[in-house]
Amino acid sequence: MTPRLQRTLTPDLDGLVRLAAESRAFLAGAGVDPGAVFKVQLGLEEVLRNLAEHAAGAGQVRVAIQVEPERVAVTVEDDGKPFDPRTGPPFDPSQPLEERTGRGMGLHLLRQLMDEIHYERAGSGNRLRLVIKAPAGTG
Amino acid sequence: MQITPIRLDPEFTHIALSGRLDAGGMQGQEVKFTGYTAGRRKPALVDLSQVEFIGSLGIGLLVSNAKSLRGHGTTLVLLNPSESVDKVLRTTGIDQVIPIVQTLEDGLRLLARSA
Repeated sequence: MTPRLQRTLTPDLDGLVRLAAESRAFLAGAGVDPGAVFKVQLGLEEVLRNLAEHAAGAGQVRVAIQVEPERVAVTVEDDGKPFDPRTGPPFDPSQPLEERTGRGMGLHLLRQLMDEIHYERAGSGNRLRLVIKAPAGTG
Repeated sequence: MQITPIRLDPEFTHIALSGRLDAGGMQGQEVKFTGYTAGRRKPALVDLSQVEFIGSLGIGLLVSNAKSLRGHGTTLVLLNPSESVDKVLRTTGIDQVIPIVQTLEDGLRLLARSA
């Protein structure tokens, strides 16, 4: 059986802080490469912050982190409005400083740094799966 | 996120950040960071070598203060981020709008130019 962490949480500051600490400890305990741990943390931070900001009232979020051979899979399920992070306006990393507002950076980081992003509308909720490659022999 | 002032003088600001620049780590630290950087209106060198994590929230803080400093005709320079932090910064094109240097000497040279 592959190591798995499952949590149900409210996507608020307390929930984010607790999940960040628990997931870090879990991934380190499972021997996951530090670079992959960083990316998992990035995926969780950006997805959950996005839910907190744009899916008010979506209720509890279910998060599962599974360490598989040479990769880590993160699944986030919520009961909010349909939201596919793969779509939406692209962020332009060549924007001059004066025009930067910070908008779109989180989704851009997800799209660029996650190795795979899968989304499906599941019943009345969203199911997002992020895959992060982890170097062989560490997972 | 912890903020350690290293040098605060009439010419420039040099501070070091450590810990996590995420929603949890930045609680209550944004105002302090702004006070040390944009608030002083001096060229600012921000050492990132001990930053463990940065997400879009942390980048937003760097960008807003760099913008403010530029509005006052000066600059913010980032020093020696870890490989993972550097990758996040470059993925969002931050290196194109805020200089990232690897050594203190290079940082001080850039600050002297913008002073």
